[in-house]
Parts: sequence; C-alpha cells; structure tokens
Amino acid sequence: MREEVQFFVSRSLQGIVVIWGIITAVFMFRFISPTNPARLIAPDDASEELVRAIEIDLGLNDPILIQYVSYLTGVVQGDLGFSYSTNTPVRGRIIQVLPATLELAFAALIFAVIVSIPLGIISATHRGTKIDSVANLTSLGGVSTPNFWLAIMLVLLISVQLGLLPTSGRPIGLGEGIRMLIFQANIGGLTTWLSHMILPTIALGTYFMALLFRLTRNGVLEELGKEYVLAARGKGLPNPLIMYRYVLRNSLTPVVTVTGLQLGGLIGGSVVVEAVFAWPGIGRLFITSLNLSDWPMMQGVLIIVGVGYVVTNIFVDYINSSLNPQVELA
Amino acid sequence: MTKPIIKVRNLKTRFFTEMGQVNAVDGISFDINQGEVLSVVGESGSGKSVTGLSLMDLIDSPGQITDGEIWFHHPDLAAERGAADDAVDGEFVNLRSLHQKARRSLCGTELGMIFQDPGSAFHPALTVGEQIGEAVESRRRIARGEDYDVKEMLLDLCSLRSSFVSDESYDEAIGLLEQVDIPDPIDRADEYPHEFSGGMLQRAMVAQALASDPAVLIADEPTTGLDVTIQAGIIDLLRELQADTGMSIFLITHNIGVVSSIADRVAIMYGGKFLELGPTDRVFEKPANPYTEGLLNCLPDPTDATNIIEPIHGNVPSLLDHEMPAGCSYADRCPAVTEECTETNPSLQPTPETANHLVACIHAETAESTTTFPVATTTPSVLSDGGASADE
Repeated sequence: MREEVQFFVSRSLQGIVVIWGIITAVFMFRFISPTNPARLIAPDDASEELVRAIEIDLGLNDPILIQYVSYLTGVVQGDLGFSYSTNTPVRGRIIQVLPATLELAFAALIFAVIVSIPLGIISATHRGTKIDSVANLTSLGGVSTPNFWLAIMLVLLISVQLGLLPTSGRPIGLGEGIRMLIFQANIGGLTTWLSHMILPTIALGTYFMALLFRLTRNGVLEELGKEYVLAARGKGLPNPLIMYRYVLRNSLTPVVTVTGLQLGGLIGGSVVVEAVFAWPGIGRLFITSLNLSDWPMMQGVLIIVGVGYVVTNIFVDYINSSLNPQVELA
Repeated sequence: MTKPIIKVRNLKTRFFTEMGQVNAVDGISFDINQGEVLSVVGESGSGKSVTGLSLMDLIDSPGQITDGEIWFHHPDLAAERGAADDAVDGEFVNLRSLHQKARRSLCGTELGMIFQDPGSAFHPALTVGEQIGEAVESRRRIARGEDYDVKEMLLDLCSLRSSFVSDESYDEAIGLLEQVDIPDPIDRADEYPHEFSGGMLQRAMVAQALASDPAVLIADEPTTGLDVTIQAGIIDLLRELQADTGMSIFLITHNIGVVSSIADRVAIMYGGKFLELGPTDRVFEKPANPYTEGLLNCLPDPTDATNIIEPIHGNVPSLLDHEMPAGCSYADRCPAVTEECTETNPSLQPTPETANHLVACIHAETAESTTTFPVATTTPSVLSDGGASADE
C-alpha cells in the first residue's frame, strides 16, 4: 500500500512537470500565429483606436512574461481564459463538449478491446488456418483504412443506402438517456443515444481494434512457445486456465500500454471522425476554434487532452506493474 | 520384483519443418521398471528431451508422434476399458490410443515432469506457491472427476474468491516445498520465481512435479546449469524422494557423473536411436558400443592429471530425414567404422555375457539371438531387468 501511495505521488509530481511543459508550449503557439486577435474580435469597419483598445483590454501589449505568468496562474486556478469568438469562459465550453468526446472515445475503446482480444486469441491458437487468415486480412484492412474514409463509407452504406442508422449528430447524451430511463421509465433516450453512437464508434475504433488484434495475436503466439506453458500442460492444468493465467497475462502487457496511449489518442484524434459525424465533441470544437483563430479555446483543448494523456499513462504503468511483479513501481 | 511400468515400443516422433522432416526420435523401444531410475544419456540434439516430451504427450505442432506404442501400467484404467479394448493389454493401457482428455488427465496424476531450466518453466508473474498449488489442485480435481472448462473458469472469475487453487491445495504446496528442503516454506511460497536462486527454484520444480504424486517422474536435465554442489543436492533429493515414494524416474541428462551416481540402468542415445542400453555399472565398465566408449573418454578425471581427454570429432548428425545416413548414424564419427557400417542400420541386440545389456553395433559381440529386436506389443524380457541375466 505504501508503495502504491509513493508511486502515485512521485508520478503525479512528474506529471505536473509534463503538464507545465504542455501549458508553456501551448502558450508559445499563440505568438507564432500571424493573426491579431483584436482585429478578429473587432467589427470589420472598426477604427484603429478601437483595435488598440481591445488589444489593451486583452492584455496583448503586455510583456510576454507578464502574459505568461497571468495565463499560468489562471490555468492553475482552473481558469482557462475567455473565448475570443464568444467571450464566454473556455472552461465552461470544454466541460460542455467533453462528455460527447469521452463517450465516443470510451465506446471506441471498449469496442476495440472486446473484439480484438478474443479474435487475437482465436487467431493465435488456430495459427495457419482459415480463421487466422481471415482475421489477419481484416486487421490489415483495419490498420490501413483511414478512419475518415471508413466513416464516410459507413454512412453511405448503412445510413444512406440501407437506412438502418442515423447519419450524424448526437441529439442526446448518455447521462440524459439514463435519466430518462430512471425518471420517466423511457428507454427511448438510450436507444436514440445508442443508434447515434454505433457508426462513430466503429469508425473511430476500427484502426485501434486492428492494432490491438495484432498485438494480442503476436503476444499469445510468443507466450504459447514458452516453457512455462508447456510445464503448465505437463502438470495437468485445464486449457482455459492455461490460456487465461499463463498466456494472456504476459501477452497483455503491450496491449495495456498501447491501450493507454491510444486512449489519449482517441480523445485527441477523434477530430476527423467528429467532423464527419457532426459530433459535438472536443475535436470539432478545436477545428471551429482553429478556423476562428480562437487561441484561448484551442489552448484549453490542448491542455485538457495533454492532461488526459498524462493521467492515463500513470494508470497504465500502474496496471502493468500489477500484471508483472518484475516491473517495480518507481 | 522388477515389473515394468512403462513399455515403449518403436516410438517415432517427427517434426515437420520447412527444412524437411526431422526424425527426432526414430523408433526406440525400452521399458521403465517400477521404482527404477532409467537414465538417457546423449549429446544435445540426440532426441533425449523429445523422448521425454513424447512420454508426457507434450509434443506440439509441427511435431507429432507418428508411430509406436506407449504402454502404461494402469490396472484401474485397463479394467475400466475392458480387456477387449485394443488399447488394453493385461494391466497396461496404450497411451497413444487414449482420447486426448484421458491422456491429458494422466499428466499431473501419474506422470510428472521436471524441466531443464526452472527459470523459464515457472511463470514469472505467479508466486511459486500458487503454481505448485495449481498442480495439487488439478490433480485433486481430476481425481474427483471434475471438469474444468471455460464456463467453470468464468464462474470462478466472477465469484469473490476468483481463484482456482483452494486453501487446502495451497497448504499442500507449502508441505511439498518443505519436503524438498526449502527453508521457510510458508514465506517462500509467497515469493515469485525471480526471487529464488537457481538451486532453490529447481527444488521448487521438483516439488511441483511431486504435486502430481507421479508413478513416473520424467526429469529433463534437472541438474544442467546448476553449480556442482547444488547438482549433488538435487541428485540426493531425487534419490531420497524415489526411495520414499517408490516412483520410477526417467532421467534425461548429458552428465555421465550424474548417471553413475543415481541411475539403475542407462540408455545411450544418438541420432534419435538407442545405441546401448543396460545396467549402469555394466555399461560404464564394459561399454559395448564405440560411441559409449567415446563418451566415457571425454570424461575428465580430477585425480589424474595425465589422463588425456579424447573428444569425439565431428558433430551430432542432422536428424533431417533426407540427410540421415543409410547405415549407422554414428558411422562418420566412429573410430571403428567399416564399409558395412554405412550400409547396415544396426538394431539393439543383447550382449553375450549379460542378457539385459543391449547394444546396437554390427561390430559388437552379440549373443546368438536369432531374432532381431522385437517390436511387438508383447514384452520382450530382455528389455527389462526381469529377464534372466546371464551373469546372475
């Protein structure tokens, strides 16, 4: 227990350093941008005086160091600044769209894990058979298909041609759906939510699924050749138990690592998929802000994604060390 | 007194690789008697380990046992199947004709195995006690006739205990660790393999094999890679355990010193075949095959500095089917080779003085046995100690 506390404290301290780096880098990005935010905010026919006044109001004329310190103190206190385009707090806007992205990311993650791991095991244990070839081919397809293309094809085939599922949008969140179920005994909310989730989930999760499939298959194949698996059979252990306790355990270490890394990637990388499905998530928010040169908003999004990466990685290391006692918590 | 417990007849294990067919075990026949230590000696790549794995039925694709019979003394199973069954001969059951499930359940109850490298034969992420406990538990479950399949495993995982090993089995595992002289067995059981020293881990490996309460223990190079002092400890331990439990030991090794200190009988293996088989003293005192002689000449004598070690020149032959010589596999390294050797493949024949001392060499003096080595399912008396020895 003490080890665990130590681990989390020391890793959190390291994480804070990384996050500080992210904030600094993100802050610096603004100065690369050629656009003057004051001019964006001001009306087209605004006079120079008005633009100057807005610049002063935004603090753009202060020395960089002062701007940096005031931004940093703001972020530390949870204040990500105000959007240039809507003049509303960035934090509020991010909190508003974050659930949509998180839902999609987790759904894609769960889809990928649930499909890839059993498929990887079956493929490895039936090495060289037709099942293996089909699974391999599918995964090759999954890895090499760009997700925006897959997304468009899914929409064309399933929504437009077959009319089975809605094309885009997210009319209702998961939390709202559950609330409808509990308080109004109406399952309609959840089914609507689900029907809008399916296609984006597949589009976002397929690449990841194919990746995990390959990792699982290779890991299981490698483990199957280990002498301790032979020894386990020699002592009469039942096959399912050998598979679970002896084979999967070690072959899952890379799977867990990649899952953690990709979860961060799923949050940040859903930009294109969100655009195709008009998904009101953080990716779309980022694209919109980019088009408007809404720097505070973009900075806020990048910081949130960065924090997500750092936190998931700490947990991934923890899970790995509990899977393998030779990896010490440090 | 000496009744066989395993009768192996014409066992052939092949590996079908991209390079071609590998005849790792090429038609060997032998008996393991009850309560004896039979040792197989040979260089690396002679097929010793594959013989052991074949007995355990642990040959994996691309390998396969292609021919032969393994008769195992199991009166209960024989009675259960009935004498009319093709797989039954008296009290013996042919393991090769059992269904996979029945075959598997014998591993872990009647047959136990010690692996060469305990560091890789234990799972690194499970404690030693747990792994030995699993062996105990699976023996118990097989004894109770319980099935354990995906369904049972999922139920186990969902239950609060979520463990395959019961407390009793874990306690028995601690007892086994004590039996193999591991100090502080309760604490050590909770440690992982990488926290053990090599010798201690080999002891734990022995304990794991004992968990099956085996009638035959297959020990694949149990002392290789250990310090000499620790080797002696392991050999002592095996000897003690054998005396206590009366099990038979099939000891695979390339260490002749180990053989002479523990084995009752020894088989010299080369190129997938036995070249010589007989009582240990007899074989080492009066080797009948030039290869055995060559092996003995490779042994250094620490008390005699003038003793010259004579290495056997050349390498172990390739076991690839299409590269195997037509005649004796040892012919191209043998100092006594003649033209005939490269043409005729010798079979095991009894030597004139001792009927249970067999040799496969066309130049060796053999008794006037008219038939070649029998491969039938009937027990040839010369294969076991039970045969009338000429020197008794």
